[in-house]
Amino acid sequence: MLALLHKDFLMLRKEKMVWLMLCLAVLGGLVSGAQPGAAIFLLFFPVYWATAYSNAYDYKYGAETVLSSLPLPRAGVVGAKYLLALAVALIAVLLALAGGLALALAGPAAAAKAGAGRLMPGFLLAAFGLCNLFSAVALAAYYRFGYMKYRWMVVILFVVPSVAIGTFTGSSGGAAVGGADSVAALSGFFSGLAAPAILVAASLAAMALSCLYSSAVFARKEF
Amino acid sequence: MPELAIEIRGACKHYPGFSLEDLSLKLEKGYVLGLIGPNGAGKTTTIRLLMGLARADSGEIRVLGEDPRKAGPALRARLGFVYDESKWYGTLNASETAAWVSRLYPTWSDEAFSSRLEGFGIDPGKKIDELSKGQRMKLSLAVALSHEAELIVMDEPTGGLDPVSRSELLDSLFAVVAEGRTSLLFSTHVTQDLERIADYIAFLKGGRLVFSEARDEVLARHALVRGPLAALGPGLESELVGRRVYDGGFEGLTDRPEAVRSRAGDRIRLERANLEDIMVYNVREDYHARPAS
Repeated sequence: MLALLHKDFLMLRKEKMVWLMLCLAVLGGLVSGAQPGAAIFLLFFPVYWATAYSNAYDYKYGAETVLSSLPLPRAGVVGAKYLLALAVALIAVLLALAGGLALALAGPAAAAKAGAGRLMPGFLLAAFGLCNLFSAVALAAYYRFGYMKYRWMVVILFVVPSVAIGTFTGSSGGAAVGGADSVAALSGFFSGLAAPAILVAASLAAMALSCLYSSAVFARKEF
Repeated sequence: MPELAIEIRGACKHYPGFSLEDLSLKLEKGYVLGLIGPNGAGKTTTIRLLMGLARADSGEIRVLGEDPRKAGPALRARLGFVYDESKWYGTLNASETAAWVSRLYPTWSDEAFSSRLEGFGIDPGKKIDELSKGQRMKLSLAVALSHEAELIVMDEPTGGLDPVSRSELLDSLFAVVAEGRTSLLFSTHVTQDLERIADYIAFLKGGRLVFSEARDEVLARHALVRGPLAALGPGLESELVGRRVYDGGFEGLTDRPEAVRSRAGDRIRLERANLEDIMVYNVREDYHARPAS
């Protein structure tokens, strides 16, 4: 599995978009205090991009035939995709942490007072959990329905929760339902560690179940 | 009893619109088996079964003594493959490809890989997308040869290559075969390729095996028959696999040259048939003189 993870990183690092993704993750950390919903949306992006690109490359080059001919179990081929999603989510969260830390330590006083960049371990855990939940559903869809259908499904999967979070927290343009109260509610959720930790545990369980399902689907696949 | 690299017994595989029926094949270790047949004959299906990429509906398949569908990575570590189109990631170069692929093969040798790339004239830093088709095929071969594959399975590796690239790839294969350690299954519809390197020929047509024999026996058993139309009576025609008639004469293929000679005597001329003649006369139904055996 690590060999395939290595392969994915070799390919992703060649994409110009990788810099934008890294910036979005850092930006997520910067705005996490003031706009936690938007911050989660920003952290979703790298995970979505990395897994979608990896799947797109497999589709473009018909690589599943090669991967299934190499000396690794088919479950390993599938597991590597989940490992990639986990690794990118972790990197995104760490970059957000770095961004938040930088702003807290060196940012303008006004920004710090307004809560922008405020470090919230709960937020980072929750963001990690939500990214994993997204990957659990997206990758199961990929293996179940194939790349062409997955392409559209994952866009919907990406947009709907993001808009919902944005609407809930009032970060989607002011016509929001909850506005500042919702931001406060979301911040309240993030301020403790218990609920985000449960979210992370649930997301990892979802990833494991999704991986088992995808492995079973892929094991039956013929080329 | 010789050790077998490949053993297929009564394998069947059904797809909508195509069936591979009751296929039986053997290849001893250290030899080259050429799989020939027209498009849609079942060559790629046979290769998919051997590589464990598809499951046979019935029958038994053994590759290096193991069932490829049930065997794990240990068997695949002993196999090399070259598919009809390069399926390596085109945005990576050969060095980067080796960097991740080498982690999967316990017997991988970086020196062997570099040496093969140099021998094949492949720039290790050039993106695979920027390599020619011939170079991409050679890259697949270099990967297969860098982990000491005991059996290399090749699906139409020369398809779509220009004559020079084809010749270069065949020279590379010839060198591998000459080393004598590797068994090779080579599927193609370019039959001249196999006349150079194959020890055995298996001919598939419409999902069925027409014959599987030593190359020299196949070539010795078949002959082209040429003569005037007057010589082409029902007796002679029954000895032909196929024939075509042209102004004043005919040309046919026989798998019983002695019987043809005894029936037609000096009125006909017997000439050496090549694999292409054998395939064409077996495949083209408008040439058929009797039901193909």
